[in-house]
Amino acid sequence: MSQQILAATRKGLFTIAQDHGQWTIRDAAFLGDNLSLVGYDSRDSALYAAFSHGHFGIKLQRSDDGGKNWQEIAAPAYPADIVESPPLVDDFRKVPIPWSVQLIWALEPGGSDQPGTLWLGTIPGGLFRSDNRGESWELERNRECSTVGVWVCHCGPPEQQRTCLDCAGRQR
Amino acid sequence: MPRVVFTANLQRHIAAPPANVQGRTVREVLEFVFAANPAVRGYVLDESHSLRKHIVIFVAGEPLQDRVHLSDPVSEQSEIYIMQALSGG
Repeated sequence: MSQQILAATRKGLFTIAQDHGQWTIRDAAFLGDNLSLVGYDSRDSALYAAFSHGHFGIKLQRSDDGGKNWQEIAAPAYPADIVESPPLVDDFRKVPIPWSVQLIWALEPGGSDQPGTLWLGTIPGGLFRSDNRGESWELERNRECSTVGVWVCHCGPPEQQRTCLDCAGRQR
Repeated sequence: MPRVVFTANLQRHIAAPPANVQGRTVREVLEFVFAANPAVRGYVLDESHSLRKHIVIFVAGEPLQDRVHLSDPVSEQSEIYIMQALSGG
Protein backbone atom coordinates (compact mmCIF):
# COMPACT_ATOMS: atom_id res chain seq x y z
CA MET A 1 0.00 0.00 0.00
CA SER A 2 1.31 3.43 -0.87
CA GLN A 3 1.75 5.99 1.83
CA GLN A 4 -1.00 8.52 2.30
CA ILE A 5 -1.79 11.48 4.49
CA LEU A 6 -5.25 12.49 5.63
CA ALA A 7 -5.51 16.23 6.10
CA ALA A 8 -8.43 17.74 8.00
CA THR A 9 -8.86 21.37 6.98
CA ARG A 10 -11.37 24.18 7.26
CA LYS A 11 -12.43 23.38 3.71
CA GLY A 12 -12.77 19.63 3.82
CA LEU A 13 -10.93 16.33 4.25
CA PHE A 14 -8.17 15.60 1.77
CA THR A 15 -6.33 12.37 1.06
CA ILE A 16 -2.81 13.10 -0.13
CA ALA A 17 -0.93 10.14 -1.57
CA GLN A 18 2.43 9.42 -3.10
CA ASP A 19 2.29 8.77 -6.83
CA HIS A 20 5.56 8.14 -8.68
CA GLY A 21 7.46 9.96 -5.98
CA GLN A 22 5.18 12.97 -5.87
CA TRP A 23 2.54 13.82 -3.32
CA THR A 24 -0.80 14.63 -4.89
CA ILE A 25 -4.36 15.02 -3.66
CA ARG A 26 -6.02 11.71 -4.41
CA ASP A 27 -9.41 12.33 -2.89
CA ALA A 28 -11.51 14.97 -1.18
CA ALA A 29 -14.54 14.66 1.06
CA PHE A 30 -16.79 17.04 2.97
CA LEU A 31 -15.84 19.90 0.67
CA GLY A 32 -16.58 23.23 2.30
CA ASP A 33 -16.96 21.78 5.79
CA ASN A 34 -14.72 22.80 8.68
CA LEU A 35 -12.93 19.76 10.12
CA SER A 36 -10.94 20.13 13.31
CA LEU A 37 -9.25 16.73 13.07
CA VAL A 38 -9.20 13.33 11.44
CA GLY A 39 -8.12 10.27 13.40
CA TYR A 40 -7.18 6.69 12.58
CA ASP A 41 -7.69 3.74 14.87
CA SER A 42 -5.14 1.08 13.95
CA ARG A 43 -6.99 -1.52 16.02
CA ASP A 44 -9.91 -1.74 13.60
CA SER A 45 -8.86 0.61 10.76
CA ALA A 46 -11.71 3.00 11.52
CA LEU A 47 -11.41 6.66 10.55
CA TYR A 48 -12.94 9.45 12.61
CA ALA A 49 -13.63 12.97 11.40
CA ALA A 50 -14.52 15.84 13.74
CA PHE A 51 -16.44 18.83 12.46
CA SER A 52 -17.02 22.32 13.71
CA HIS A 53 -20.06 23.47 11.79
CA GLY A 54 -20.35 27.15 12.50
CA HIS A 55 -24.13 27.13 12.77
CA PHE A 56 -24.93 23.57 13.66
CA GLY A 57 -22.30 22.78 16.29
CA ILE A 58 -19.62 20.15 16.58
CA LYS A 59 -20.19 16.74 15.06
CA LEU A 60 -18.36 13.43 14.60
CA GLN A 61 -18.42 10.89 11.81
CA ARG A 62 -16.84 7.46 11.47
CA SER A 63 -15.83 5.46 8.40
CA ASP A 64 -15.29 1.72 8.48
CA ASP A 65 -14.22 1.39 4.85
CA GLY A 66 -11.26 3.72 4.55
CA GLY A 67 -13.26 6.86 3.91
CA LYS A 68 -15.61 5.66 1.18
CA ASN A 69 -18.66 5.96 3.40
CA TRP A 70 -19.19 7.90 6.59
CA GLN A 71 -21.84 7.77 9.25
CA GLU A 72 -22.55 10.30 11.94
CA ILE A 73 -21.92 9.15 15.49
CA ALA A 74 -22.55 10.83 18.82
CA ALA A 75 -20.86 14.12 19.61
CA PRO A 76 -19.56 14.77 23.14
CA ALA A 77 -21.69 17.04 25.30
CA TYR A 78 -21.39 18.24 28.86
CA PRO A 79 -23.85 16.47 31.18
CA ALA A 80 -26.83 18.31 32.62
CA ASP A 81 -25.40 18.85 36.10
CA ILE A 82 -22.41 20.68 34.64
CA VAL A 83 -24.46 22.65 32.13
CA GLU A 84 -26.68 23.81 34.98
CA SER A 85 -23.76 24.76 37.23
CA PRO A 86 -22.39 28.33 37.33
CA PRO A 87 -19.96 28.94 34.50
CA LEU A 88 -16.25 29.17 35.17
CA VAL A 89 -14.50 32.37 34.24
CA ASP A 90 -11.62 32.48 31.80
CA ASP A 91 -8.75 33.80 33.93
CA PHE A 92 -7.15 35.57 31.01
CA ARG A 93 -10.12 37.11 29.22
CA LYS A 94 -12.34 37.48 32.30
CA VAL A 95 -15.35 36.14 30.44
CA PRO A 96 -17.57 33.16 31.30
CA ILE A 97 -16.63 29.83 29.73
CA PRO A 98 -19.78 28.44 28.14
CA TRP A 99 -20.74 24.87 29.05
CA SER A 100 -21.03 24.00 25.41
CA VAL A 101 -18.47 22.01 23.45
CA GLN A 102 -16.98 24.39 20.90
CA LEU A 103 -14.33 22.18 19.35
CA ILE A 104 -13.00 18.64 19.31
CA TRP A 105 -9.30 19.14 19.70
CA ALA A 106 -7.85 15.69 20.22
CA LEU A 107 -8.91 12.10 19.57
CA GLU A 108 -6.94 9.05 20.62
CA PRO A 109 -7.80 5.35 20.57
CA GLY A 110 -7.49 3.34 23.74
CA GLY A 111 -5.00 0.54 24.07
CA SER A 112 -5.09 -2.88 22.48
CA ASP A 113 -6.62 -4.16 25.69
CA GLN A 114 -9.47 -1.61 25.42
CA PRO A 115 -11.36 -2.49 22.24
CA GLY A 116 -13.83 0.22 21.30
CA THR A 117 -12.40 2.74 23.72
CA LEU A 118 -11.72 6.25 22.45
CA TRP A 119 -10.65 9.44 24.20
CA LEU A 120 -11.61 12.94 23.13
CA GLY A 121 -10.29 16.29 24.24
CA THR A 122 -12.49 19.32 23.75
CA ILE A 123 -12.67 23.07 24.09
CA PRO A 124 -13.83 24.22 26.61
CA GLY A 125 -11.59 21.76 28.39
CA GLY A 126 -13.12 18.34 28.79
CA LEU A 127 -11.89 14.77 28.51
CA PHE A 128 -14.53 12.39 27.17
CA ARG A 129 -14.43 8.61 26.95
CA SER A 130 -16.32 6.24 24.70
CA ASP A 131 -16.32 2.47 25.08
CA ASN A 132 -18.38 1.80 21.97
CA ARG A 133 -16.47 3.44 19.11
CA GLY A 134 -18.10 6.80 19.56
CA GLU A 135 -21.73 5.73 19.76
CA SER A 136 -21.88 7.51 23.12
CA TRP A 137 -19.52 9.64 25.21
CA GLU A 138 -19.09 10.21 28.91
CA LEU A 139 -17.24 13.06 30.54
CA GLU A 140 -14.25 11.75 32.46
CA ARG A 141 -14.59 13.38 35.87
CA ASN A 142 -12.35 11.45 38.19
CA ARG A 143 -8.91 11.81 36.79
CA GLU A 144 -6.63 14.38 38.25
CA CYS A 145 -5.67 15.57 34.80
CA SER A 146 -9.22 16.14 33.62
CA THR A 147 -9.70 19.69 34.80
CA VAL A 148 -13.09 20.32 33.33
CA GLY A 149 -13.46 23.66 31.68
CA VAL A 150 -10.17 25.33 32.33
CA TRP A 151 -7.24 23.53 30.76
CA VAL A 152 -7.46 25.59 27.62
CA CYS A 153 -6.82 28.68 29.72
CA HIS A 154 -3.89 27.44 31.73
CA CYS A 155 -1.99 24.88 29.77
CA GLY A 156 -2.56 25.19 26.06
CA PRO A 157 -4.74 22.53 24.55
CA PRO A 158 -2.49 20.22 22.52
CA GLU A 159 0.23 19.62 25.08
CA GLN A 160 -2.10 19.37 28.02
CA GLN A 161 -4.56 17.12 26.31
CA ARG A 162 -1.82 14.83 25.05
CA THR A 163 -0.68 14.49 28.64
CA CYS A 164 -4.21 13.69 29.69
CA LEU A 165 -4.65 11.04 27.07
CA ASP A 166 -1.46 9.36 28.17
CA CYS A 167 -2.32 9.43 31.84
CA ALA A 168 -5.76 8.04 31.08
CA GLY A 169 -4.21 4.61 31.01
CA ARG A 170 -3.60 4.03 27.36
CA GLN A 171 -1.51 0.93 26.83
CA ARG A 172 1.25 1.42 24.28
CA MET B 1 -51.39 21.76 12.52
CA PRO B 2 -48.19 23.85 12.77
CA ARG B 3 -45.70 23.17 10.02
CA VAL B 4 -41.95 22.99 10.64
CA VAL B 5 -39.54 23.70 7.79
CA PHE B 6 -35.76 23.46 7.94
CA THR B 7 -33.28 25.38 5.84
CA ALA B 8 -31.91 23.57 2.81
CA ASN B 9 -28.41 24.12 4.24
CA LEU B 10 -29.20 21.68 7.01
CA GLN B 11 -30.07 19.02 4.46
CA ARG B 12 -26.38 18.94 3.45
CA HIS B 13 -25.68 17.30 6.79
CA ILE B 14 -28.80 15.46 7.79
CA ALA B 15 -32.26 14.66 6.46
CA ALA B 16 -34.74 17.07 7.99
CA PRO B 17 -37.91 17.09 5.88
CA PRO B 18 -40.81 19.45 6.57
CA ALA B 19 -43.21 18.15 9.17
CA ASN B 20 -46.72 18.91 10.36
CA VAL B 21 -46.80 18.33 14.08
CA GLN B 22 -48.77 19.17 17.18
CA GLY B 23 -47.87 21.74 19.79
CA ARG B 24 -48.83 25.06 21.32
CA THR B 25 -45.32 26.46 21.66
CA VAL B 26 -42.15 26.24 19.62
CA ARG B 27 -40.69 23.92 22.27
CA GLU B 28 -43.61 21.52 22.07
CA VAL B 29 -43.56 21.51 18.30
CA LEU B 30 -39.83 20.84 18.15
CA GLU B 31 -40.07 18.03 20.68
CA PHE B 32 -42.48 16.25 18.34
CA VAL B 33 -40.04 16.72 15.48
CA PHE B 34 -37.10 15.45 17.54
CA ALA B 35 -39.07 12.45 18.74
CA ALA B 36 -39.48 11.35 15.14
CA ASN B 37 -35.99 12.43 14.04
CA PRO B 38 -33.67 12.49 17.10
CA ALA B 39 -30.48 13.31 15.20
CA VAL B 40 -31.81 16.75 14.28
CA ARG B 41 -31.88 17.92 17.91
CA GLY B 42 -28.14 18.54 18.16
CA TYR B 43 -28.17 20.65 15.03
CA VAL B 44 -30.78 23.02 16.43
CA LEU B 45 -30.32 23.01 20.22
CA ASP B 46 -27.22 23.11 22.40
CA GLU B 47 -26.39 21.20 25.61
CA SER B 48 -28.67 23.42 27.66
CA HIS B 49 -31.58 22.74 25.30
CA SER B 50 -31.53 26.36 24.18
CA LEU B 51 -31.43 27.44 20.58
CA ARG B 52 -27.91 27.27 19.18
CA LYS B 53 -26.19 30.62 19.08
CA HIS B 54 -26.11 30.82 15.30
CA ILE B 55 -29.55 29.41 14.56
CA VAL B 56 -32.69 31.48 14.15
CA ILE B 57 -36.34 30.50 14.12
CA PHE B 58 -39.16 32.44 12.55
CA VAL B 59 -42.73 31.79 13.62
CA ALA B 60 -45.21 32.99 11.01
CA GLY B 61 -42.53 35.35 9.76
CA GLU B 62 -41.61 36.78 13.16
CA PRO B 63 -38.29 36.03 14.86
CA LEU B 64 -38.39 33.82 17.94
CA GLN B 65 -38.35 35.87 21.15
CA ASP B 66 -37.52 33.22 23.75
CA ARG B 67 -34.33 31.53 22.60
CA VAL B 68 -33.83 29.78 25.95
CA HIS B 69 -37.19 28.15 26.70
CA LEU B 70 -38.68 28.38 23.20
CA SER B 71 -41.97 29.36 24.77
CA ASP B 72 -43.23 31.46 21.87
CA PRO B 73 -46.79 30.39 21.04
CA VAL B 74 -47.71 28.82 17.73
CA SER B 75 -51.11 28.47 16.09
CA GLU B 76 -52.59 25.76 13.94
CA GLN B 77 -51.65 27.78 10.87
CA SER B 78 -48.12 28.73 11.95
CA GLU B 79 -45.11 27.92 9.85
CA ILE B 80 -41.96 27.54 11.98
CA TYR B 81 -38.95 28.16 9.82
CA ILE B 82 -35.54 27.09 11.14
CA MET B 83 -32.41 28.42 9.49
CA GLN B 84 -28.87 29.55 10.14
CA ALA B 85 -28.32 33.10 11.37
CA LEU B 86 -26.26 35.59 9.47
CA SER B 87 -23.37 36.36 11.77
CA GLY B 88 -19.72 37.17 11.73
CA GLY B 89 -17.89 39.99 10.03
